Amino acid sequence: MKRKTIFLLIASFCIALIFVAYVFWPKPSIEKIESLDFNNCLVFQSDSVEKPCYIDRLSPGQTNIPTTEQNIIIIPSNEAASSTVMVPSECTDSASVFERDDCVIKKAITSKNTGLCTLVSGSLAQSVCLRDVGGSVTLTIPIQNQSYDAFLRSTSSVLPSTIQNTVVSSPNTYSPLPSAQTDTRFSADALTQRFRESPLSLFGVSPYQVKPGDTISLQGTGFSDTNDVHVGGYTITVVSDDGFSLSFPAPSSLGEYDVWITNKNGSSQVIGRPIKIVVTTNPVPLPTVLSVLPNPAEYGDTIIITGNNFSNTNTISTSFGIMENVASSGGTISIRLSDMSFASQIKDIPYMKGRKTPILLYIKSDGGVSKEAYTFDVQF
Amino acid sequence: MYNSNIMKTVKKYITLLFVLIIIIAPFQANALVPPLLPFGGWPDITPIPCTCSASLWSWFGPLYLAGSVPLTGPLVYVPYATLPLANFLITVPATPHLGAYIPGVQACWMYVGFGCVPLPSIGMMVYVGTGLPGGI
Repeated sequence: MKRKTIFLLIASFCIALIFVAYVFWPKPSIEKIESLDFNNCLVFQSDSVEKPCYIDRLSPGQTNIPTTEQNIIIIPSNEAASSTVMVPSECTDSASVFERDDCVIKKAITSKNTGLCTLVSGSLAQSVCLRDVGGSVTLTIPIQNQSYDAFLRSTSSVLPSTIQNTVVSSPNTYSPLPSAQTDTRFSADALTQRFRESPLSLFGVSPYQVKPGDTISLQGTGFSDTNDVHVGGYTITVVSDDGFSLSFPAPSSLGEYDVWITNKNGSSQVIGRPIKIVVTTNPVPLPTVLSVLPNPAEYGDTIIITGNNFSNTNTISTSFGIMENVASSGGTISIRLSDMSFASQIKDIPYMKGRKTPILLYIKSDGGVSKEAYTFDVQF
Repeated sequence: MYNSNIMKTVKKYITLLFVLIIIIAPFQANALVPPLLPFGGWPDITPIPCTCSASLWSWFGPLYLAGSVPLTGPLVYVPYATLPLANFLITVPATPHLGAYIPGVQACWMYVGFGCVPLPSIGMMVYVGTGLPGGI
């Protein structure tokens, strides 16, 4: 009996030891590059001689690659910091960025183009460090952990660039990042940070009509800690907690004003596309939708939207597209779903046949855009 | 008698250890940060550029959200805010997508009249990876 007890004690000790080791043993880490120490490090490998693309890992003025690797913007060297980068669907050129201490080919390129490219990057799931891209380079070095690849999409307007030099790194130029388990790129904080670092843009104003002193909410991207909100001739400094929204009090003077924001990311003003508010003693309230009939509707149906605070002409925005200058009558609006701007494209999707899908609806009237989306179903 | 009591105590602790391992072990894995929700699906049409917000509105079908029933509907890719992952063919039609989104966030805005109006979507992609066109 005594031996049995000792045996069980030893067994329980071993299990406890295994448990402790399991919990506290360092997990396998995925390493990637935190920083590169090249002067104005331009890292790229183009796949096309005819249409090489320019990859600038640095925003103008920066001397180190940002530790957050996502959303790297390609800014042609002869162009100032750009405020808007779209990913054009026709751009399919690929490029790979190779950033490892055990596998490095670096080339610096000066771009001659004025087009915009977007480099989307951040893969931690590759198993090969360097790939043959368009036959220009073939070098494969198996790596133990992960490589850092990127895919480049360029505009068709990209012109030939000039290779300036080739830089081969030394392992000492790198320092490893924390393990993937501490990779904060997937956190909500990282998302907020990405919003903060985005180009400044302003697109949402609510409400559109306000009384003096009422709170106005703005929505956009690139809002930094401190932002100067310009309302006509007035300027107020406002803090944004999340990088995409902020609130401020309306000025006391009545009138219709352009609203824009300036901060360290630039200005939100877009020529020809003013964002406006109206300060008035008698503001028109935001529109609200009470019902949409029939529900579910069929694709070819005319739907009747019932609600409050519609204007003589309204803009209807649904998951099927946008329709402008829609008249209302006695608190109701009638529209044919098939007339929405993207309706025919969506109808032609093979997967849609016979399916019922929820559609969201917003209305914009003189008072502004309805606060909440109204949902109804459409049967295909 | 004494040994029997020890045996019982030891057995109790061993059982407790196993229970602890079973309970704690799953939490050692990485988890999504709320309120992000997983999604997967295939874009069906060429993405619509959002004129105010410089984002891309893309209709997915089938679209797998938290439930097992496939749905259809639009999601929005925001070039600066969405974290793109390999193979980076985001919003390319017929390319499988997998990622996480925030439901209800309207991230596609179109310019009409005196301002912008949201082009409604199910949500905004927070991070997304893709396969290759035609992939499953």
